[in-house]
Amino acid sequence: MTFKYVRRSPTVLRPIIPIDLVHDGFTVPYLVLIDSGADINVFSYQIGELLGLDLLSGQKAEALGVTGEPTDLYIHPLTLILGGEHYPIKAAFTKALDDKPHGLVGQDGFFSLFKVAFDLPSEEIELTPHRV
Amino acid sequence: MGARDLSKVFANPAYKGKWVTLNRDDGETVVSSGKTAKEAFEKARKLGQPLAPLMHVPVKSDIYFVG
Repeated sequence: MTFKYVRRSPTVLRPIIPIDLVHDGFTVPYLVLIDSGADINVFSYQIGELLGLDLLSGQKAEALGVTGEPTDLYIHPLTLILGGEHYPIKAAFTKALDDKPHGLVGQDGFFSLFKVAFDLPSEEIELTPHRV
Repeated sequence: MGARDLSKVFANPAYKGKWVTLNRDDGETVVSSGKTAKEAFEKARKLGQPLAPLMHVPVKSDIYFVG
């Protein structure tokens, strides 16, 4: 599967792709940044609410970014749809992403599922599902 | 192929601080906007585009992301 980079500004390109998230049969489409530095998938709290998740009932954890303060995460199982295929994943939800442009997909639950090839000069990202 | 250009969406004062949905096919055209993700999503759904992906447009548009 080939995706285009997103031009954020005249000087910034980001590897952002559309995905679909599913919980209890309800689908929410969302833009996510492919972030090899993220241990897990992290999405906006508002996206979790839209999915109908009881967010505070999830596994509580803490995250620390490069520049920020520790932030609370609530981890839940859900389904990721990409390229027409359904993948069971875990994702963390945090209010810290409510004012950020996109979610983050990371090592566990994205790089574990796909071989990711970044081609910035061509402004393309190639995703190849790992064989299960 | 060329990147999907969202620079004008991020720079548009009308969208700053709001959630927007984007046309699934071109990935660039704004379908709907709202103060919350739910509001933007519901508007897109009423417009017949339930799979228009959501994103948030920050108030500040010139911030580098490092993670």
